[in-house]
Amino acid sequence: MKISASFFWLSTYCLFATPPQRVSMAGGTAHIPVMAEAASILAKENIQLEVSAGGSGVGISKAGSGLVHIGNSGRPLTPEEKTRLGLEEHRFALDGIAIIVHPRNPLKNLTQKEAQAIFSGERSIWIPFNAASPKITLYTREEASGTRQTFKEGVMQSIPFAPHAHVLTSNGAMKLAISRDPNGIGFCSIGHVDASVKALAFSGVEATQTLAASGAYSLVRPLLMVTKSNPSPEVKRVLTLIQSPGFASHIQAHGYLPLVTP
Amino acid sequence: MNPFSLTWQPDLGLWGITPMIAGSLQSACLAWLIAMPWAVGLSAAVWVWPTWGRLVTLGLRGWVGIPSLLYGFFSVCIWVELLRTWGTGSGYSWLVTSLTLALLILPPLSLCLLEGWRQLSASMWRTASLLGYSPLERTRMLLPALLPSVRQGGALALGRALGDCMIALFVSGNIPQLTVNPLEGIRTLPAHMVLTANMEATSRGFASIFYGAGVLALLSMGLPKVCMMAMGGKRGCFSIPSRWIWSLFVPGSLGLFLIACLGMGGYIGYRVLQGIFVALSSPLPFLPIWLTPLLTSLWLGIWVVGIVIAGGIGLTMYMSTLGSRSIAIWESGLQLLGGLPSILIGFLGVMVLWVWHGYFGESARGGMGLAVVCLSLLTLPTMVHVLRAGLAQLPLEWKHTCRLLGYSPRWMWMKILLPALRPSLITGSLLVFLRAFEDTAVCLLTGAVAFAAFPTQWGEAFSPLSFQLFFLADQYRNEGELAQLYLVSGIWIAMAWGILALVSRFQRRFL
Repeated sequence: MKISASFFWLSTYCLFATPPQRVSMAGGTAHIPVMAEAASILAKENIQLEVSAGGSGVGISKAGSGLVHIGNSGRPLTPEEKTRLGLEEHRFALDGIAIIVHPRNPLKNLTQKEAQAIFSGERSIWIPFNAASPKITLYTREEASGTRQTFKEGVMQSIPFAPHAHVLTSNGAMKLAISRDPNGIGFCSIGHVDASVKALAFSGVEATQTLAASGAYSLVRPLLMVTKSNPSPEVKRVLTLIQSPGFASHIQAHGYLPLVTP
Repeated sequence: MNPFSLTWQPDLGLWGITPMIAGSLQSACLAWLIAMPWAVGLSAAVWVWPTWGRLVTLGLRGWVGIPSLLYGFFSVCIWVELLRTWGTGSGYSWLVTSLTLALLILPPLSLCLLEGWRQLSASMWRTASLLGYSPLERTRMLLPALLPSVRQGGALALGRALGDCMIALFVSGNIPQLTVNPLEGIRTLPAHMVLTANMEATSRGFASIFYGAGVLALLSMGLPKVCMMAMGGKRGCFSIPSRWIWSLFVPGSLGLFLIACLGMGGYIGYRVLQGIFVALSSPLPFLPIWLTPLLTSLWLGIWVVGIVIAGGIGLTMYMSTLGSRSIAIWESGLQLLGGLPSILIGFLGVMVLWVWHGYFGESARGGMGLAVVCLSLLTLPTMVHVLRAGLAQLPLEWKHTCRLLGYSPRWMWMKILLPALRPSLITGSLLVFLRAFEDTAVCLLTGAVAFAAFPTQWGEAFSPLSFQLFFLADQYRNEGELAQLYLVSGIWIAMAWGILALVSRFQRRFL
C-alpha cells in the first residue's frame, strides 16, 4: 500500500511539477557530438538541450513545422524552404565529406570520374582488368541524409547511386562498417575520420578540414542550425553559445572548422 | 508511379516497395525454417535427457530476456564479422538476418513446444514406455501428436520474425534489391519504415511508409494463418521420422544449442566485463548518460503497467459477461492486436500525431504520453490473456455461490475474484513492464530523443534506455562509448532475467 501511495505521489509530482527550460533539436547526425557537448554546458544553466537525429531533411521539416525548436542541417536552406517554412539559418561550422576506405586499402586518391564509376556501380572490382581483384562493397547513407546530399551534389551530380549499395543510418555506423570491411568504400563527415578508416584524397586534394576551409577541397558543406524567426530566449542562448568563440574549441575538437576563431 | 514496382531508386524517381516485401518474407521464412526444426529437436532433447534439459530450459528462459536490439547489436559484432571473414561480401546479408531472427524466435518457440510435450497425455507416454521404447524412441513415436503446438508456436514465431525491426536494421545491409543469394543484402519492410520515416513528409519516399505499413499489417495477420493451414492437412505436416535421422537430429539440436549458448554467452560476458573495466577507467561520464534513460524507462513502464492493469481488468470483467460467440470475436480481435508488430503500433501513433497536428497545429507533439498510449495498446492483449487464464483456473463454485447469496457481480469481482487473481495480475504486470521497457520501435516513432531530461509532462520528449542504447549503438565514436554500450547491455540483460525469474517464481507458486 505504501509503495502504491509513493508511486501515486511521485507521478502526481512529476506530472504537475514546473517543467525545466527545454530546447529540442533534430536533424543531421554530424551535429550530434557537438550538440551533446553543448548540452552538458547548458545543463549547468538549467537549459535541457534534447538532441535527436534523423538527417538534415528531418531537421528542416521538423523545425519548419514547429515540432522542434532547432533543426540541424548539413546543407543550406533552399530559397523555397526559407519562404515556405519561414526559417532562418545560423551557421556555426564547416565540414568536409571524406571518401573513406579500410586502412589496409592501398588506394590513396580518387578523381571525380572514378568516384562516380564506383558509387554508381559501373566499376565493381578494385583493380580494373584483374579477374582476381576483390569486389567493391559500396556503402551509402539513407535518402534524408545531408551527408548523402552533399556527396551527391559534389560527386555524383546527376548520376544515380548503385541500387545494390548498403544503406547505413549515421556517420558512426558508416565508419564502423568501413573499419571492418577491407573491400568497403563509403563517405562520412571528415569530423568522424580517425585511425580506424582511411580518408582518400579527392581529385588530388587531401581530405582535411584545413584544406576544406581554404576552398581547395571541394566536398564541403556548412553545418548550420535553422529556427523560426524570433526564437525564444533559451533557444537564442543555445544559438549564441554554439556560435561563440568560447565554444569554437569544442567544435574544433570534434574535427569541424568553427566559423569564429577560438 | 506504381508503389509496388520492382525497383526502389529515388535518384531515378522509382519508389517500388516490392523488394522490401520480398525481403521481409525471405528473412522471416528462412528464420522460421532454421528455428522450427531446431526447436523441435531441442524440445525433444529436454525430455530425453532431463539433466541437460534443466540447463536448456534455463538457457532458453535466459535468451527470452534479451531484447531484439541487443541481438542486432551483437550480431553485427559476431555473425557479420564471421561471414565476412569466411565468406564473400560485406557480411550484411539475408543469411545473417535470418540466422539472428532464428536465434530470436528459437526460445519462445522451444518453450511453446516444451509445453506441448508436457501436455501430451500421461497415458501416451506410459504406453510408449510399456512398449519398451527408450526415451529417444518415445519422443520419435509421439512426434506427430505435437502438431497442434508446432502449428500454434510456429505461427507466433513467424509473426515475430516478420515484424522485427531492429535486427534487420542492423544486419540486413538495407539494400532494396530482389535477390535469391542468401549472402547478399536485403531490406525488410520494418527497416524501410524506419529509414524513410526521416524523409520529407510530402515526398513519395515518406508515402511509401503507408504502403509498407499496410502490406506489413496484412502479412502479419495473414502469413501466420497460412502457415497454420499449411501445417494442418489431414495427415499433419510430419509423420514419424526414421530412427537414424532422429537419433542424429535430437542430440545435434542439443549440441548446437549448447555451442550457441557457450559462444554467445561467453562473448557477451567477455564484452560486459571489458565494458566494466573500460567504463571504470574511462574519463567518459557514465551515470549522467545512462541514469536518466534508465529512470525514464522505469517511469514509462510503470505508467504502461498502470493503464494496462486498469484496461485489462475492465476488459476481462466485460468479457466474462459475454456469450461464447461474442467472446470469440473479442479474442480474435485481441489476437490480431497482439500479433501486430510494434513498429505498426508506433506508426499508428505517428498517424494519430499527424491528424492531431493537422487540427491543433504546433501544439501537437509526440512524446511520453503518445508512447505510453501506444505501448499500452501493444501490451493489453498480454494482460488480458494472463488474466483470463488465471480466471479459468478459479473454481466455478465461487461464482455460483456468490450468485445464490445474492451478491452483485461488482461485489463478487471486487471482494472475491480480483484478490484471487492477484498472482495473475502480478505476472501480467511484470510481462507488460518488460515488454514496455525493452521496446525500441514504438519509442523511435513516437518522440524519443537522445539526452532528454526526465519527462515531467505528457507532451515532452523523452529518452528511454532502449532508445539511448539504439542511438549510441548507431552513433558511437570511440572504444570508451562502445564499452559503455556493452556494460549497459549487460545491466539490461541482468535486469530482464531478474524480472523473468520473478514471473517464473509467481507462476510456480500460485498458478
